[in-house]
Amino acid sequence: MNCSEAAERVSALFDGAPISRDVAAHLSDCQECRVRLNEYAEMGAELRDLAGAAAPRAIPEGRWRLAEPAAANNWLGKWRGTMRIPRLAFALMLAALLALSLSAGLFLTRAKETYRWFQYEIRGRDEKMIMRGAVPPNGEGNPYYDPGAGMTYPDGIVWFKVRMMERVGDAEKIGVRAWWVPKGENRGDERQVNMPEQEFLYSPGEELKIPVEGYGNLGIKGQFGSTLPETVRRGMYPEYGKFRIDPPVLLVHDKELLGKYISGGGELLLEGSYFAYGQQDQGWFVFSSKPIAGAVEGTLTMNQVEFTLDGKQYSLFTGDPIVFGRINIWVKHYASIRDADPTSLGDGWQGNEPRLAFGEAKNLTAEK
Amino acid sequence: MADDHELWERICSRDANAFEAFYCDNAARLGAYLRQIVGNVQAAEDVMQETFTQIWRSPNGFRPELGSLRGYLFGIGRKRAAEWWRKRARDPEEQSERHWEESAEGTAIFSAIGDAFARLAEEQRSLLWLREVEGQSYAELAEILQIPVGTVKSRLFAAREELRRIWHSPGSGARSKE
Repeated sequence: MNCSEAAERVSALFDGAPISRDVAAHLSDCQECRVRLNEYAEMGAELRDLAGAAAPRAIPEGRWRLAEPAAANNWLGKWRGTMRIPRLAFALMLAALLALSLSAGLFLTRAKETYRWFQYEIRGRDEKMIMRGAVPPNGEGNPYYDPGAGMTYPDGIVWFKVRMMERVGDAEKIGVRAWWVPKGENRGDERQVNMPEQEFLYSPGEELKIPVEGYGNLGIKGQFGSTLPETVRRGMYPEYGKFRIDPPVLLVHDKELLGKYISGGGELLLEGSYFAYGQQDQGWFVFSSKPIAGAVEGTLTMNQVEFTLDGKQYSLFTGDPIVFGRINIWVKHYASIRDADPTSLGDGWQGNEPRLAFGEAKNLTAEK
Repeated sequence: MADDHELWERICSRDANAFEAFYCDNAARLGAYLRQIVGNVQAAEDVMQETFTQIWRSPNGFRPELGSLRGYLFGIGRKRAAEWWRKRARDPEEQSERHWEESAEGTAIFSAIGDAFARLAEEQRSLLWLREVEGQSYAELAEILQIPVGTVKSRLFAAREELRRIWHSPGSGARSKE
């Protein structure tokens, strides 16, 4: 028997299947097949380790209920069946329709006058790079922005989670949780949960060394940037101080879908800007973070705007969060599209497709 | 298995507590599996929700004599994931959609095996994950993947060899031979 004949049976042996006498004899003589068997075991162990890292740490009880569409909202099932909806958006939308509370765990978004990114590199004890990226300041604790990783070494895995908290003068305040899991030990989720965050002040250009017990030092280097490089993927949440409108945009009134916009979206500053949603039979709805004449006050929570007009409850949902957290928002309604044209295109708007418009509040077209 | 059978009976009789327990016991593991299959955190969560919703809405098809309830769940999850891939292949917008490589908590997983594993074909990832991580037997894998037991054996071998090849390949960011 040669290796190619034995190889598949080595795989079966690894799965606990019985092997014939001649395969056993081959295995005892063949270094290559013994290495194969060992590596199967090693790969399996590594995969199980990876599984521990990939598994969500906590599944809120009863979350599956959110996947149950409300019987009265057939459009919802159809929409969900044909489009990929971010889980968060879907959960928030259903939560709203089911009148569940959404207030817990949200943070207030603040506009930042100066907005800067921190571009970083994180290196391991061997000076090899583990990861690099760019993150915004994250004083409010938006978990999505926290870079983190587990790096495997022959003797274990180092895990870390880094939070760029805020700029302090010319330095960046960084919060770090890092821990070492020697090979053969459980990954220790409890250790992560209980791990206190260490705070460091980092001056750009230097290398910050973060000691990790049992491992050595993690190194962080970085610099501030005013513009996010094109190569860096955008996060799920918009930048601080900005609205981000991503389709689909749905206008809902009392559980009835009034319209759905599915083309492009946009991003704009919270301060001094507006975005507007319009459709032929509903007119324009203009949204601003600052009061505007004739507007009603509503709330914007993540990807949903809620407001009341003439005693009727309206909601506007978007595909991704418009802001991170919750802010007050002002909504001005022009019942007829002929009353205003936030697009300022003056093209007569043919067809029934809803539209979005963006602009500076000071340029908002006065009522005709 | 008697426990599985009893739990299934309760789910079929619309016992929400039983389903809740079933969800809590399996959601994390199913989510981890789906994440490996679709390679996208959000899509994996969507597929997972659809999987549980399908079982809750139409609890049928589980045959205790053919495998465990978890195996049945993973089988549905895999079919849903396959649908996701088909839909994605048809929709250019979906293909250009942003991917979220990070976990739900924003943790990117960097490991040699993860890097190599991600390069396997979907079916090989599925097979290896179910065998190595979930510990499914050949018979259960055959049921989940709808292939004969003999094929499970040969495909597992092929998947292991491919993973090993990628793991050793130079410049893979994975592992090189000492």
